[in-house]
Amino acid sequence: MGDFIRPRINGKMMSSHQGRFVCLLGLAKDVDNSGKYFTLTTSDGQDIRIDMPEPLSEYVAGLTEIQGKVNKNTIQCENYVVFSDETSSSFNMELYNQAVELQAKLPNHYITGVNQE
Amino acid sequence: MAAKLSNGSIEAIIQGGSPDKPVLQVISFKKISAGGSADRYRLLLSDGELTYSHAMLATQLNNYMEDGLIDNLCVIQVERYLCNTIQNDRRIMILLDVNVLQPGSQVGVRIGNPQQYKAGSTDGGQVNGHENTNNSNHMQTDTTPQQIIKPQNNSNGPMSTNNNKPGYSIKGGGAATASPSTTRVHSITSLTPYQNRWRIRARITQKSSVKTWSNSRGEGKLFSVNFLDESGEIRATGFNDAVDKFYDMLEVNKVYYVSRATLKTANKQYSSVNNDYEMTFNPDTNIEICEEETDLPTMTFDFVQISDLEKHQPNSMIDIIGVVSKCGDIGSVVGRQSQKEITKRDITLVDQSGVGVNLTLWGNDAQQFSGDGNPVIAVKGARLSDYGGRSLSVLASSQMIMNPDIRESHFLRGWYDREGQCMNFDKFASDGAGSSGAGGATNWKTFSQVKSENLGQSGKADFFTSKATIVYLKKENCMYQACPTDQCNKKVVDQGNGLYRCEKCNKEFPNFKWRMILSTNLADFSDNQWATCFQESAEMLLGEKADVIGNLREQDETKFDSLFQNALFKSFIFKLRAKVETYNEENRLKTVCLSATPVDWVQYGEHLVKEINQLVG
Repeated sequence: MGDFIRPRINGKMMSSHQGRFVCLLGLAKDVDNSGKYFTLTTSDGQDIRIDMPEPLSEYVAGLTEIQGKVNKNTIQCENYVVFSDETSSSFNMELYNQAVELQAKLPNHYITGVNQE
Repeated sequence: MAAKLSNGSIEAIIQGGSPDKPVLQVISFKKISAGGSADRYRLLLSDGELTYSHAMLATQLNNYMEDGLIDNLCVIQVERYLCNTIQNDRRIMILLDVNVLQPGSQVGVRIGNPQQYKAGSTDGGQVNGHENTNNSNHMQTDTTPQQIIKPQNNSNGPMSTNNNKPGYSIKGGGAATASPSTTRVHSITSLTPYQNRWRIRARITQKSSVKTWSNSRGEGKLFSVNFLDESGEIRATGFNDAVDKFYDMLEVNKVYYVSRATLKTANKQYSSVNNDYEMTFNPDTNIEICEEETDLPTMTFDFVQISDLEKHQPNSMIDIIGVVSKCGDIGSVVGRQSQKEITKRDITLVDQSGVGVNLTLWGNDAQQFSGDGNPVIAVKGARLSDYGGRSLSVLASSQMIMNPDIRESHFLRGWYDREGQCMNFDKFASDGAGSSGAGGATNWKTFSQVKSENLGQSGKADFFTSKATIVYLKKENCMYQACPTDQCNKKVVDQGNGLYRCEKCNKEFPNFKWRMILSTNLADFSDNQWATCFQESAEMLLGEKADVIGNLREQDETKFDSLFQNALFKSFIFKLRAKVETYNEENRLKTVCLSATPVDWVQYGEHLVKEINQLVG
């Protein structure tokens, strides 16, 4: 079946998910003029380039969730969700990062579905 | 080669002089066990010309003997000493601070040919007329008694008067010193049980409250204070009559002259003061307030800004100063261990850091406190806890001063009057779940733990905290009509004529107030738990005030029902109390909700991370 699982990762987990579909939540910034890519600061403070299949039609900023495929140290974006300013400012990134790392450390306790091979 | 001894210094000292830092040889020593904890060392000293056996080492230097720093035949330079007169002519030298110039093993011999000092034969004979006195007046033997001579230690202050200098040697003449130290002041470190003609001038840095005791040997009351002067600190206790005599007059931070109290070896169990001795007030004790300006060290504080409190560990002692922005009412709690009711009062302190913190006062402090006028409060040694994020508590060992006369206090006063009163202060993020009874760490329990640990079944109440979700609310009999009098919550009887009677107040009223008794079933991942919620927590769960809910129940049933519907499946942090109650000779385990607070997800998340990390190890 298709791989619907999008594990949540942060910057340092990118390399272990090469070629896989992941979910990356972070703060968006520096949208390129062409709209074809922008930078996402991950929950552990790394800057990752996000490549869009088509140029963005709206402005992306603040708390953003990216679902896509890991390609070296960029993400090929499939879907994205932009959060409101209010949510962006009240979001606790530190706690989210701890949650991401815990569920990676203890995958048996945070079963999200059948893993990709 | 051997160091040069201060010839003639012993003669000079005995005559009442105070040669500066004499270099002497310790011929031998003898340990005197005092029966109490402190041993004393008696020394046979030589200055190359005379030997003198009436010399004692101050107990704070005892380790010099025990570690072998001072041994037979070593040469020492006496940095600080004093001479006390006992029994008419006998003079005892007390060495307060000593520098070992050469160890005995290096010296190996008695330097010079010292002769035993004989009291009385002070003229001619043994002394070769060398005097190593610097800035003292060397007196002959037949001069007037009671001459004050300055000792040679680091004096920082005017040399003229005898007021604030530690360490005095009193030259006694033939007669016993009848008029004792009325104008002299001794240093606290020089006090010993062996000499009771002394007077100190010191500031009170701490005063306890009056404590009473009652045991098989009798009963009584006591209080204690800590005295501080330039040389050090000493603890003083007054029993029974002394409490009546001195308790009210002694105030923290003020300076007093104290004389004629009993000195004895300190009982370290009761005091952390650094002194081998402690003082007890007796019927002869004389205490007078000191009116003059002194430069005695004041209480030292190490204040922490309120915003920095989260950097400090819970259970640490903190010095804090702030303005009382809010003063709570007196409440009472049942002590977890003592099961007795204790009064408490919560006040809020704010400072220029823009953050406010809760300070809890207990017992007498709580009762006597008044927040009128937004006073500045300084506390030394308050205990920090992580209750409600960060919160402070005044313990018995803490010292609280209102509007202290120190710089920080003046700054705070000015700042508050100008801007502080209008500011909005940040509060510490509540950790959602507080503690039980008298304040302590949160006792998190899952509902399955509550059952398996039989909480509440041991006869006394068990307090715990759980994060849980409401799964059922009982609509029937969830509220009753109560007496409208403030603080009285007794159920009123409907007289039928529009009046409601309260049996407790013995009055009738044309109105009543609605009070909630809400039976609810809560659940967490492990199990469920029935609990009863009273007014405040019920109002929190339903999201409306009791009177509003009461009206809806009478008038708009649909809205009333939807209130209950909407509350379902909401999560809160519950503080619960489980206890077995006897009701008509039947024992039942009852669980009551003391408070329900909305979950602060960030706070709760951090709590979970901590627990997970503990489990993972």
